[in-house]
Amino acid sequence: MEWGIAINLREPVSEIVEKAMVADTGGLDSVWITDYPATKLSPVLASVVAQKTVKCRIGVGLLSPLIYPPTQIVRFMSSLIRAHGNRFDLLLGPGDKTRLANIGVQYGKGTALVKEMAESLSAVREGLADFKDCRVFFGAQGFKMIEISRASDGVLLNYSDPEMIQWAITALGRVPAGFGVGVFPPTLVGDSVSCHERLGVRGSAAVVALGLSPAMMKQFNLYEALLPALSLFRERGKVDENVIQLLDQSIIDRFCVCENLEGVCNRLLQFEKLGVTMIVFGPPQGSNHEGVNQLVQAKNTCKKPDWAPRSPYS
Amino acid sequence: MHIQKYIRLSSDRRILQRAALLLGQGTQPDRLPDMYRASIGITTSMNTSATKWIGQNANSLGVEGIWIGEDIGVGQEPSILSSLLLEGTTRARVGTGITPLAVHNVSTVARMAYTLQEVGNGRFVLGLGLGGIQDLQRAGLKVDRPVSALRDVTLALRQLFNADSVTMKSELFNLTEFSLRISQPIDIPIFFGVRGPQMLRLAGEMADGVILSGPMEYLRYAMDTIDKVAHEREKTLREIERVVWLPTIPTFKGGSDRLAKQVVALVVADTPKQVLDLLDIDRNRADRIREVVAASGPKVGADLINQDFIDTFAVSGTKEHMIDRFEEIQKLGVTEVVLGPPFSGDWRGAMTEIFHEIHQRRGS
Repeated sequence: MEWGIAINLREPVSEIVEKAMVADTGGLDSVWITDYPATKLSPVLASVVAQKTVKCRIGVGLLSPLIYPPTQIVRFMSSLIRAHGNRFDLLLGPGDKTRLANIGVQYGKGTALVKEMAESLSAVREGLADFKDCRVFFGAQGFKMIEISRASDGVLLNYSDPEMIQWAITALGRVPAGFGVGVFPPTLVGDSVSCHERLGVRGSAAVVALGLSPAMMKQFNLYEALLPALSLFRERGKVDENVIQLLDQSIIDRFCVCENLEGVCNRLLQFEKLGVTMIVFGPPQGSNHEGVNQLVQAKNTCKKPDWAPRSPYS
Repeated sequence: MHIQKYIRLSSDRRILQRAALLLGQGTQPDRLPDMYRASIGITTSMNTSATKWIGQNANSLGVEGIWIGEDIGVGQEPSILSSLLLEGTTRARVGTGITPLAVHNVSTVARMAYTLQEVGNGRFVLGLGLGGIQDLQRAGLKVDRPVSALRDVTLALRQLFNADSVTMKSELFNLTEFSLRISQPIDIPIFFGVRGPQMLRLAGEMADGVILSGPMEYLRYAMDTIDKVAHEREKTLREIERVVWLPTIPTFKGGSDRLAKQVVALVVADTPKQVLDLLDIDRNRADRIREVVAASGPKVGADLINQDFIDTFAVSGTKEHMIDRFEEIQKLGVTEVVLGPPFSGDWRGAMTEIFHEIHQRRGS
C-alpha cells in the first residue's frame, strides 16, 4: 500500500516545506499539495517542496479543468518535471461545486460536465505523453466519474466506507494493468484519537458527505440521514459547526479515517483486501507537524514484523 | 468600498514603502533616481536551459529584475518559472510581464501572486495586462471593455491583497465572498503592461508601475500621459515606476538576424494603430506587417522588416551603443530598462558583457 499525505497549505511556505520534509525523511511515499479551496497555488508550492525533499513523490491537485485549461495543467506538470525530475503525479477532477461557484465557475449540467471532464483528462494525458512517470489520477465519487477515471492511471475516491469502496471497484470493472485504486478521505490518525470530539476531521468528512450527488445518496440510502444537514448547508452556503452537528457520527465515519496507530493498520489491511493500492491521508492530518509525525509513526507501526491484524474489539 | 477611496488607501500604504526605498537611495521623492534598474526579460516560450542560465547567473551579473512574458498557452508555466527564479536569486525582483487577464481566473492570479510574494520574500511584482493583440486573436478571445476590465480586476486584487473578502462581478470575473484567507494585508506591487492612451491614463491613476514597449516617440508620449494623470492625482514621479521592455539585438556576438526580424514583426503587429500613428515610420509597410503577421505569423512577417523598423522598435548594435540608448531612454523618466529577447547567437556572452558595461559605467 502506497502512503501519501495531503499537506495543509494555509500555513507559511516555510512550515509547508518543513512538514513535507518530515514526511519525506519519515518514509511516506508521497506528499500531496492540494489546490483550491486552498488559497496558495499548489503547483508553485510543489516546486518549492521538490527543492527541499529527496525521495517522496509529489502529488499536485486536485486541479480542476474548470479553473485551469488542460493546456495550463500540462504546462504546470511539464514545467515541474523539467525543473525537478520525474517525481510528480497529478490529480484531476471537477472540484467542489460550491467553492467553484464562489469564483464564478459553474459546474454545468451533468452530461456536459462529464463530457468536459472526459475531454480534459484525455487532453492532459495526451499533453503529458512524453512524461511517462507522471501518473494522472482522477478524483471520482459517483458512477459516471468513476467510468471516466478508467482512462487515467488510477482513481482516487474520497470516501472510506468499505461498502462504498467495494461498490466503486465493482463499477470500475476491468481496468488496465497498473491501474491504481486509491482513497483520499479526511483523516485523523494518532496516539489517541477520539473522532467525535474533533471538529476538524468531522468538518472535512461533512464536506464530502454533503457534496455527494443525489444519485450517490440514493445508492447508499443516505438522503434521509443527510437531509437536515443538507438543508442547513444550502441555507447558509457553508459547512459550519451547526451543520456538522446535524450529522450522526455513523455518517461521518463513512467518509473519514479516524484511528489510532494500530487501528489504522487494521483499516488499511481492510482496504487492501478490497483492492485499494494507495491511500492519501487527507485533512486535517497534514495540518501540523504532529499530524505528519504521527503518520510516519503509524507507517512504521504497520511495517513492524510483529504487527498482526487484530480486531479493534479484541 | 468606494473606488477612489480604495485607491487612495492602497496608495498611501505604498507611498510610505516607496519613501523608505527612496531614502535608501538618497533620492528626493519628487525626483527620479539617477540610475535605471537593469533587468532581463524572458518569455515562457524560451527553453528551460536559457531561463535556468539567467536564474543561475542573475546574482553575479548584477541583474536587478527578471520579467516573464507569458506567451499564451505556450512553453513553461509562468508561475513555476517565477518561483524557480525567485528561489534561484537573492536580490533580483521577479515579475510577470505580463499576466494576461483574459485567460486566467482572477482568483488564480491572486493566489499566484500571494504564493510568489511569500516564496520570494516580497520580491515578486505582478504585471497585469489583457494580453497581446495577436495572442488574444489566436485564442479567439475578445475583451469588450478593456479599460473597465483592467480597472475592476485591479480593484478586486487590491482588496484581496488587503485581506478583504470580495464580492464583485465584472467582464472578466465573478467573485462571491472570495478571500485569500489572510489576516494581514500583503504588499504586492501591481504594474500594468499597457499601450493605448486610455490604458496609460488608467496606469497613471491606479498602477504602482507601468511596463512599456515601443519606439522613443511613443515612450515620450506614454510618459507624458502617465505624468499628467499622476500630477492630477497629486502623485510624485517616483510613485509610478516606469519600466521599458525592448527587444535587444546585440550585433557583437553573432545573433540571428532572422529571429530579430521576427520579434520586431510581432512587436509591430502588437502595437495599437493609434500608437503607430504617433511614429515617423513607413506606415504602409507597418500596416502590411500587421496584416501578414495576423494571417501567417511573425516568421512570414519578418520578410517585411527592414533596418529602419529594427532601429525604431528595438535596441540594436554594439554594447556601448546599446547602453547609450538605455541612458537616452532613462532620461525620459524611465526607472527600469529590460533587455528583452530575441536571444540568439552567443547571447549569454553578450548579456554578460552588457551588464558588465552597465555596472562599470555606474562605478559599481
